[in-house]
Amino acid sequence: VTDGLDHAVRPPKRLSPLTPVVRGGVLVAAAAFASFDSLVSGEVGPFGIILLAVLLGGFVFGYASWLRTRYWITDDELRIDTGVLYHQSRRIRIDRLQGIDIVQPFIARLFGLAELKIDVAGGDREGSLAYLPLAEAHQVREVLLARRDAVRRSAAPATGKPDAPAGADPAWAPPDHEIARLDLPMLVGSMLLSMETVGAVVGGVVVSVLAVTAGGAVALPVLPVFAGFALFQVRKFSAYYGFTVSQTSAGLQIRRGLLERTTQTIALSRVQGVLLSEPALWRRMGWAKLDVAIAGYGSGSDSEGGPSATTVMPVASRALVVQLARHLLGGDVDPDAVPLAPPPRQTRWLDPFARRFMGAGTSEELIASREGWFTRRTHVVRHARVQSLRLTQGPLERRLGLANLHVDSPPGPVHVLARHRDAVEARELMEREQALAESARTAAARYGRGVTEAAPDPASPGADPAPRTPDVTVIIPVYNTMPYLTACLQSMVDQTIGADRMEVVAVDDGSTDGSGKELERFAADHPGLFTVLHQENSGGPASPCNRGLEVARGRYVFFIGADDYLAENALEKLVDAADGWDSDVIWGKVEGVGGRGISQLLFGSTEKDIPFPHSRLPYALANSKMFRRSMLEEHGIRYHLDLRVGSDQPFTVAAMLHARRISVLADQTYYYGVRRENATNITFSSGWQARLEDIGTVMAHIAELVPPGPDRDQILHRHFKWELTNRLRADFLDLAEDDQRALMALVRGLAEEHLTDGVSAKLPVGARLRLRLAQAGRLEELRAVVAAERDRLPAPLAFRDGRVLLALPGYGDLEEDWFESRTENVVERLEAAVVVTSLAWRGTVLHVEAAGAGLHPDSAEATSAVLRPLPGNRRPGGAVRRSAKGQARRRPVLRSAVALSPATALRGLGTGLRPRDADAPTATGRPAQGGADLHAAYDVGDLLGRAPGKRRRWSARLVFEAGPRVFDLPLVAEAEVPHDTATLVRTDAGWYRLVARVGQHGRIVLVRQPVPVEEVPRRERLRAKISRLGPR
Amino acid sequence: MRRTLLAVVTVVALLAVGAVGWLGLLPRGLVAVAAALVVTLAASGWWLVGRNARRWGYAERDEDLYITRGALFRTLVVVPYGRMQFVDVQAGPLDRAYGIARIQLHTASPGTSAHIPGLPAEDAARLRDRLTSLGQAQAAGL
Repeated sequence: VTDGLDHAVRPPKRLSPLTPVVRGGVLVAAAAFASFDSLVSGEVGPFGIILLAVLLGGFVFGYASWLRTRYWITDDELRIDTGVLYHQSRRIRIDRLQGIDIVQPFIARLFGLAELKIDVAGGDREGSLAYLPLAEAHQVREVLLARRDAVRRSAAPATGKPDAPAGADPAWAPPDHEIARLDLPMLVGSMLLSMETVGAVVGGVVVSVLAVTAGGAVALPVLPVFAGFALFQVRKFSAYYGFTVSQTSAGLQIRRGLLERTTQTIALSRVQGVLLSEPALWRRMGWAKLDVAIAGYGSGSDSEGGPSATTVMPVASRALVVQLARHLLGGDVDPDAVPLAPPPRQTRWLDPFARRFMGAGTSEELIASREGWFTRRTHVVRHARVQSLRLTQGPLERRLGLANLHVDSPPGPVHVLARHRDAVEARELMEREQALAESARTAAARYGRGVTEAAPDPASPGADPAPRTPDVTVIIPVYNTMPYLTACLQSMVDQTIGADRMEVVAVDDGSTDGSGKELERFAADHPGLFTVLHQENSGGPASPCNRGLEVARGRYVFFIGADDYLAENALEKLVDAADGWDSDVIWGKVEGVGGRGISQLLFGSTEKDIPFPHSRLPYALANSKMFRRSMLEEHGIRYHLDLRVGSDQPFTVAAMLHARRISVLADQTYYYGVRRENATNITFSSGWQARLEDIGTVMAHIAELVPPGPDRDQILHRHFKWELTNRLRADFLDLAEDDQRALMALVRGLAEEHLTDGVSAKLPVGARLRLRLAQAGRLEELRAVVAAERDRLPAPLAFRDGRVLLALPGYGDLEEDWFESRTENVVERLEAAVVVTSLAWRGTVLHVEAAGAGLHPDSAEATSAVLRPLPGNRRPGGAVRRSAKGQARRRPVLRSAVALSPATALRGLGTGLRPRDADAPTATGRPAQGGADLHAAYDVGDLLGRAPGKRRRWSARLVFEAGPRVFDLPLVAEAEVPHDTATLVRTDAGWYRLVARVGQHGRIVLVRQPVPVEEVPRRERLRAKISRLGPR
Repeated sequence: MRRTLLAVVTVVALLAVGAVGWLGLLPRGLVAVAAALVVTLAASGWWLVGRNARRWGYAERDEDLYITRGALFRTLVVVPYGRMQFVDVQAGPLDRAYGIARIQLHTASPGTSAHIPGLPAEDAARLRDRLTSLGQAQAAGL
């Protein structure tokens, strides 16, 4: 991060106040010239008045415009506000900046000002800041570029992209650096050594001689020619002055110009071929010129006197030009290394002179031709860029057995032409080139991903910049989703992966709300990106998705709901990750928008390889994911048309079953799931009956894919736990009894079919119980269970018969299996299950009364009270004593039974305790129901003889045993239980104070503190003596 | 079709020559020479058009389309399907009268000049459909 970041410009900044002057400069000059005479003569004619008025108006407008033009640079965007009458605010995302050019027109240069031109990825939107002081322009440029790099770096996935082809990541593009600069003396020299100069000199000599011999009048008509020549040279000089070529992330950047500075960026992906020109006079000096053919640039030429946009280097040493050419062609190819064969002898009849310079040939990567006896031109094109081939032959050529081979390129200066080759050889050359071009094309289609905007890496083996099949096809099934559709489509347009690496197939399923028109609008605005298909309404997304799959061409397909949208970098990062990891199914974190709840359980962390189905994946069966298309095609994976909703589930299951690797990215939000206000969204509107039938069909389809067994259980348990149990929640009670029975019958059918013991074991007790009750047709009990859940009645834990059971309504009457807890978090429930209400010492026994709202009386046998020694029995000096046998010391030193009795409403009448208000809520916030009252006695009498005279501490705990599962938790008291309930006891070793203390987190700690006999109150000593006398 | 055009042009030219002769604007001899010239040109044109038309040909191959044309100046064009950007089928009034059409292939290069004239209309439509589907399947763009 450079300093520029720290000096970031936060508050709005204005342009230079001289801007209106510079902008109006031309006008001023015009006005001044036009009205000069009238001003001088003191007369202001009507023309002058109009001009002055225009001038004045212009200045007022210019000033107003300057006032309204402001810009901000924030963390992630550049905002430019402009407009006097129509206010316009343009926001440019910093991470999408491609290049920032500084342009200085002549007048601006006089004032030391510059214009900042901002290129944005996609190229359709760009911004401009005109004018800024030059220094500020440079500073703003630095700030923006530094910030862009910072933003991109932070946005890059932390997971890395191991196997992605080099140069695939524009975020890591090297900073700009200059790679070639025009040598000024060489420019002058080259202009002197040009044909034009020679012609002018010769012409000048002739004219002078004529003028001298025949009188000066002869020279007059020739003068304009010379003036024109001079102007031509001056323009050329001024255009090429300061010509530099630099490498930027967007491609090669060319800056040139004396009076008007021009900056131009050449994306390497658009380079079609190069042309090296070596005029005769330059060859001696070893100079050359380089032009480049760029798709869309057309054929620039020097004929207008101005420089051509296709010129990459007007003049330079041949070595430098060749190096540039290699760079433009993609790095590892040497245009000089193409073997050029001369044409056959018979060509001499057609090209007596030029024959010596003519040549054509191919190398592994290139096809090249050379010709021109005065200016020697070498045209070079990569095989992958060859458009079409043409063999031509005129009558003379036929007579001589010659033919020409043309290699067609997009309009531009480059035209490879093997002129006058032997006819047979030309045909062979054509066939060879055809094969080479075809293999280069397919190679580009297969491997040439992501080379588009990246800087060529010398190490990357000939990354061919030819665009090809898109990396990813986004399929959008659309049915009446306005106005949400617009955001969805716009997010497609905004994808950073770029329009050449993606395509969107939107299938309009007979929308009636204008969704179809919106699709057409986007398709028209972004030709090539969208494919829009219309069809009759099919009733669900299955048919449009299948149709989309038929026309998809991408290596991956991504499905998105027409009301959802994607993060701008979503596709780029997903494709990169999928390529790097070789994932067949991959998706990114989904976030709900507008109150749509999305389970985040799967998005805890980025995972490269998630097993299916034994993971949480059965809870992620939506199709808003990216799938490898070859996998879908290989296994014929398609959507079932008999499903109105949920058709994505069998699809996703099939894909996940066949996927070699399933990955998820969780470093950022990739997908925004939108909740629609007017939910005509089919998922919400269909009734429970249709919904249940669909779920049944979904489950049947999944069962077809997966054989019975643990895998099927693992997938289908989700449907029982979610889809089916959700039908048996509070609103079930609102249904009429007939409907309740009908619903129950539907559930019963599905349970009979799929609710195996394996599935049952994976379900929480509440869900299992409801499903089993529905299956058994026990409506009364089912209602009771649903009502208990609605009223949030606590379900006490019962530790019995070596199992943990959840005492929901019906416990004790119904099958015990139905209540067994397998998925619930027992520890969490236990922590809240028991709350101490009173502590009291009776002799050496601490009696604890507790409210066990979360504990069932049946647990009595499995529950015991345990004391465990605590570390921190302090030695002199305060150090904590750590026994080497630390683990052994954890062993319980005392275990006693715990009494549980059915809970009573009123508790807490223990000795020395404040009675609790009968109406006060218990720990669970509700009157205890079905819980237990707990009485535990911790007797430290046996412990008093150990380590006499020292301070000892124990933790009072409750231990619950359920077969192999043992739960050991500290006994916890509420804060209002009196602390330091203490008693004094006497042993053979002396007096001790016993304290029950509510320690950290409410845990009850028992402390044995030796007490010097002098400190024991007389009354206690006396009592102890008496009690010892008594029994004897 | 070109012969029809040629015939029309010849007739018009002859009429013009005749009109000039009838009006007496030029000496008779010159008019006769001009008429003879027109007839000769028409005859040779008739022959050349026939020769040229016979030279047109195309071959649909797996990866590319071959088009050959020209009697005097011969050309063989190879257009890979993947390079085709779009395909036009054109039929002027005269074409329609003969039930033929002209198909034109466009690549990114204007130099390609790949067209096939005088195809039966249904052949042209079929070829266009085939070319577009192949073009999509193998699209390589620029």
